[in-house]
Amino acid sequence: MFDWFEKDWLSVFVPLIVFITFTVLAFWIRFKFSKYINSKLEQIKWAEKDILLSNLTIIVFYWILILGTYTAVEISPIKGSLYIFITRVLLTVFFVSLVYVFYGVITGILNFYSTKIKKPLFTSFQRLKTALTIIFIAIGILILFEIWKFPTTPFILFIILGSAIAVFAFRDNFSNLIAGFEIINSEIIKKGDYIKLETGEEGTVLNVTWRHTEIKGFEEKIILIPNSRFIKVKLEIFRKPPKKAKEPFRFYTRLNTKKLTGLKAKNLMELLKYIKEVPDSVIFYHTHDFIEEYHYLIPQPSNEFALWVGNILGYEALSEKLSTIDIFEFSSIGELRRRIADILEEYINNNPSDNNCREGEEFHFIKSVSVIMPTPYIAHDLREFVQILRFISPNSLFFHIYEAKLRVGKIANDFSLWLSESLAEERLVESITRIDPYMLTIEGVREKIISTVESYLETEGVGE
Amino acid sequence: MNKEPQATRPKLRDYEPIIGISAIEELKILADKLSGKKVQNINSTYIGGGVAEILARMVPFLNELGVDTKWSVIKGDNEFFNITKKFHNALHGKKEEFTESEFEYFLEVNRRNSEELYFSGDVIFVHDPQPIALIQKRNEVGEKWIWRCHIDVSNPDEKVWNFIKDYVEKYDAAVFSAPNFAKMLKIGMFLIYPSIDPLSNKNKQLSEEQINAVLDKYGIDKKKPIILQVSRFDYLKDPVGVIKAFEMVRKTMPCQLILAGGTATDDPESDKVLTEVKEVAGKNPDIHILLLPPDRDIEINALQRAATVIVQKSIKEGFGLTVTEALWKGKPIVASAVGGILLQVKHKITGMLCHSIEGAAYAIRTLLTNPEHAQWLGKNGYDHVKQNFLITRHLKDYLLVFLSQYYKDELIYL
Repeated sequence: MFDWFEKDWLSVFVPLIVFITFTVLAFWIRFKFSKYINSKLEQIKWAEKDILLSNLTIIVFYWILILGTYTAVEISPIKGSLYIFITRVLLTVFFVSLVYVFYGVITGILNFYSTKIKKPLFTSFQRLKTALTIIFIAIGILILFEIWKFPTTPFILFIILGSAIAVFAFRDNFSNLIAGFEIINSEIIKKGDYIKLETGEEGTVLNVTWRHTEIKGFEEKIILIPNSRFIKVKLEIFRKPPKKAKEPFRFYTRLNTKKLTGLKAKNLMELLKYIKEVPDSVIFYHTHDFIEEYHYLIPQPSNEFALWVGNILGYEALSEKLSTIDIFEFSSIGELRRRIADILEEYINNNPSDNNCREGEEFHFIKSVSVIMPTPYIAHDLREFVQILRFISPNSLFFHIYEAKLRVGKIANDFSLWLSESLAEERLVESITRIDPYMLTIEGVREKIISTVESYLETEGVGE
Repeated sequence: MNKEPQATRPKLRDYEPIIGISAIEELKILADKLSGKKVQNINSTYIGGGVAEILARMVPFLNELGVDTKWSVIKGDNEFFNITKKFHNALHGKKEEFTESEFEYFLEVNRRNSEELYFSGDVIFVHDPQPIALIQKRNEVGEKWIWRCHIDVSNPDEKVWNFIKDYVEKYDAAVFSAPNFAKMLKIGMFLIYPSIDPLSNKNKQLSEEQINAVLDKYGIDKKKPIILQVSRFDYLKDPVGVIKAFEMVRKTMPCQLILAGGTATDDPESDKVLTEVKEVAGKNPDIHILLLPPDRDIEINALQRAATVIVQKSIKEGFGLTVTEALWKGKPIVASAVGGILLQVKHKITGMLCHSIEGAAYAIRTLLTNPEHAQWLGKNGYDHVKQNFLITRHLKDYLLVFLSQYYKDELIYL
């Protein structure tokens, strides 16, 4: 056994010397060189130097040891499969440590910055770290495959395919994340803002996370809006919270049923006689029924008396006069009734011949019986008011606009009264009160009020 | 020939895309105000006829809304129903002879039913004249009694009307289908228009393929404008007048006419009218006379949807639900200014009214030459039906009439 050593002692001794030299060099670099680097980094006052040093100091030591071992093996008589195996092991250790160091440095820097960023971003940083870990492991595996001469193509294909599937499956999440990053960092949307999306969602912002924005909408409903929506649709942001009304506005709805009075007119004289006698509810019905029954028509014919006189009796001029009565200017049914009666009386006096209509075409006097009920919808401020206006039934609008003033006997429509008494928005009250509902369809009235309030909010920026 | 498949019974939520969520919400609010009240409908049959058809829809809807609603029918033999058939005709103005014993037998069957029938409603809703004398029970059962008159009693046989009226006026209220159909009564009189079901086979949406299949089946040219009248072959529907109007139109513009409908089994004149119509039509290849059995609702629907102009040239008309159905299809309509048609067709707003054959021809020609105006009228007609003549509005009216019985004011705050 010692014969071999006596003949070839140099082939063992020299690699050993080389290895020891590298070891000494490693120790020297670890203690002296790191101090030198540290002092240099101190001068540039780089905050993350500790991360770099802690990761590099120890690993450089091991890399020099690996290099020493590799050099010793190269100059030693070891050959063949043992040589290949040892070099592959050394390369494996080297590259794994190299990847590990990179990972350590990058995640260390991320950790360092994550303590300085806003809370909502923290979770996302953790996710980014996980993603980086996966990427580094994949790179490490690829290098190992290369070193150990395993085929890498299937693995690369697997990664590409997996990545494509992941991107496809989480495409919304990606766009949400990107939009969320933009929203949080640039503070486009802040807590307490009132936002309104083109797609209809609106409310006060409660929280903005990496993926979605949480808003409190109408009726305290919490709505989660994916952040990507903000880059796809038009967004309006109102910084000021809306002014609260002293008393909230409760929307009512009114449904009416038709009651026959049994009275019917076959000529102008009878029409006039009954118009003078019938209850207010009958006059209201015949001057407003068309608005409800034909609420989709533009322009709307004004009242049923005018229609009957024109279409059935054929008195075109009288019909025109009756249809031009501006109901908007009357504050009570009594006044309206007198106006209709005056027009009829004047016509009858000037045109004494009065024709009867054909049988079956008589004017039937019908009474409107209204059932008024509260809806669950209550507005506490102007924004809620507009939100509810968008979907409240035409019956509710009819009650608050037409019936409240003329039939219930209020001085103006319900909306104007509330805006004045509970919000003291006098300029808005003036605009709303000026809208003539008899020149519009019910849907037209809805749109007009909404646009009036919205433009008022924009120009006045009503807030507390 | 196979029967058409029946549409499954729809739920109220199925109507939401048509009338909107707010209308459904209002029905719920209204029904909620009736909670605790039981409604009992009473009529003479579960099957056949317009009343049974309406109740078959209304009763499930009311229950779906939480209003406890029952439907009972009275029992009667052939003799009783022969008498009520004569009542029906007499109330429509037809001269009928009655003996005292017939009135007595009518009351006897009603009395027997009032003893046998289980009354469970707070609101007893009696339909048409057959069960009218059940009102004799009003001191013992129910809180409110309402009579629903589905027929036109504007020009009745006075003897029958006076007999009926004595009972009607013992009710709390009566409900009529049109102002013209009513008679002056001492009790409250409500007006509830009839309605159509937009989800029934006769009115639901159809695909182009379904429409084309029906046109192919009856050999109708798809390229030529179609003028259509759907009605049974009856002098009162004036099918001959429609052909004459069509011939006037055809002189200046190419078009085709479809007269589609059935014959009434209880009308001996029906076959005679059909023969006469065929004679007048002659061998004109542009006139299609389609005798359809009563279960061809989808085919009627398809023909209406394929039509360019729909005509209803009735000499006398009840409410005219065929007009409602035509308007629902968004088609321009030319109709006689009679009966309930006047409630639906406002001249030059939701359609064209006419008073003569020449007037009908002129209106058809106007619509064929002005398709944009025709389309505008059709759209208005559709909106008018959507607002006023759908079954959901009918349901709302029933709920309102029930509720209003418990209040006296004209403005009822709940």
